[in-house]
Amino acid sequence: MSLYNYVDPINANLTCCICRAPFTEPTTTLTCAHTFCADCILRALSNAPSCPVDRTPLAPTDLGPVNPIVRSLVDELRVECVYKADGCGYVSQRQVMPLHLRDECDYAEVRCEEKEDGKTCGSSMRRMELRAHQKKVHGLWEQEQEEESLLFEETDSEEAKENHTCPHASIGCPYSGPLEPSEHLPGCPYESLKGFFTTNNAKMSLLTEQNMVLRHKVDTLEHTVHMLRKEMNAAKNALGPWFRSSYQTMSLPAHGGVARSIAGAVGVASSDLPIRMQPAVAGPSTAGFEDSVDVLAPYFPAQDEMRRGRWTPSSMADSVYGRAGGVVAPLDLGTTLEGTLEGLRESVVGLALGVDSVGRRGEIALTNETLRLGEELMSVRAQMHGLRMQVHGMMMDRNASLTMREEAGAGMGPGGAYLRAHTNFGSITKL
Amino acid sequence: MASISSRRLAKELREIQSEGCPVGISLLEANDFAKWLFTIEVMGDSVYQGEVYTLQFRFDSHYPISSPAVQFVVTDGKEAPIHPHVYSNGHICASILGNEWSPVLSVIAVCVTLQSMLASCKKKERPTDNDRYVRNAPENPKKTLFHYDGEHYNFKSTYLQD
Repeated sequence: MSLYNYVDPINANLTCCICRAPFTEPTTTLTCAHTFCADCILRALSNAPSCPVDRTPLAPTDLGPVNPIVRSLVDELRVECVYKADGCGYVSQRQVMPLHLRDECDYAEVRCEEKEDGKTCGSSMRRMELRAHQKKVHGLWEQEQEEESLLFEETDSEEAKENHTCPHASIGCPYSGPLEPSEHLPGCPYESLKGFFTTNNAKMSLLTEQNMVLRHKVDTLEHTVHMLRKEMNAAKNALGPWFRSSYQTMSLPAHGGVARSIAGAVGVASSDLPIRMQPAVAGPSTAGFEDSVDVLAPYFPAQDEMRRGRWTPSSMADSVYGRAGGVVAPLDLGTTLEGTLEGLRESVVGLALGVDSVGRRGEIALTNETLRLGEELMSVRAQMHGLRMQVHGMMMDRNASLTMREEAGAGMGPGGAYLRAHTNFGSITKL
Repeated sequence: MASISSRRLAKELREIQSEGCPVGISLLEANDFAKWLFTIEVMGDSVYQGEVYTLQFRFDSHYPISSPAVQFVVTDGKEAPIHPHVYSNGHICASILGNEWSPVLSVIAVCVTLQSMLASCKKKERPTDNDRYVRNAPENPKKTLFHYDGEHYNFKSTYLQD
């Protein structure tokens, strides 16, 4: 129940809108997610079966426990003891207060549970009065009290006797007895060591101080190293394959050897492929071996190899790992990644343009060639025609001479001779 | 249970005293957690301009689970406003005082609702069944079962048996 007085101001979100006090056993509606004290909402539902906030239908079965965070928030609110008016100044978390009331609070009502003649006393009073009541009415505690007072007396007398301890107790003197320090000190073995302990203590404190300073320094250094490592990792991530530590550069030749042999094997297997296909085959196989090396490098062979015109897988692998200095030829690793990428992009664009213009030039050349050939063909044809005409003329002459000889020799009629001549002529012209 | 209603009312009273009432409403008397009196006045332009009414709240031990009994005071020369939802004996026919009461409502919320109910009235007239109702009305308006009808001013009221 909301019977406690709360010490601190309460967040309005933690108050039940029915009792206007911080939630007690907070309960949430499963249908509309409103929170109330378990008791408040159950009583409200017994009156009207709807949510008090939005009036949607609600049954007790639609209630569920609230998020444990809310429960902890209200359970940890600080409350005053309910007997504050009577004089109890106890303040605690709300969840602890029931225990205080049950077991501790002197002002809480308790019942005397003493049995006398088989009957329970049962009279109720404040806890602080219970002992007096039991003593007075039931005759309890008297013996114990005597024992207690005896105990007190004994300890009192002991304390009086064992009053003195050695001033060197802090450095180990076990003496504790009736002697005054002035009487004890002359015989105390620690007295002679006093000087040593003083210097030793001074040294110790100096060392402790230095240790503190050093620890602080180490802490800061560790922090710096941590920061640097973080930054390094960030830089590595940003650089990606462009990052190359000195360790990796040193160990590259070994990797290069493996990659070279692999690339060589690929090259043997694919030796019947056109030369230009081979980088595409070998590229991924080398890239798989060393991630931190530029995977694009195989596509950009060293210039001297380009000049040689022979682009074999092994020479290509050499160009990847760059035996001398490990620099891939056309890529300048000295610039930033963005700059290089930009440069690469530009050169790709330039190459595309070049390829384009080469294509166009080829096309133009082809057209020119075709035209020239056509013209030549025409002139050849014209010459052919001239030749044919000449042959024709020669044939005509020959025909004419032949006809005249036959007419003279065989004495045939001019009509038949004419016909034969024509037939001959036809067969000759067909040449 | 009684302590819960009084604790809740004590909280409401503390809030009223620290933050004050809304404009047009003021606390007249709150000597215990059984009966409170408020004065209520409609601000601005309305048919009740310049008229001040007294509103009485009576709480039972189940407040705020059960609604307070709210009515206008009609004794000591005071009168109930002439309104189609207000009977001449001071009883008010408002749904939030009956079946639409919700424990999350408060005394101030009821006052504000009644104030706006008066402010929205265009014509001063009594409920149509005023005479019949007043003749037989129980002392406590909570014992009346009103049939709420916002559109027409034809209310039927039945009396609950104790």
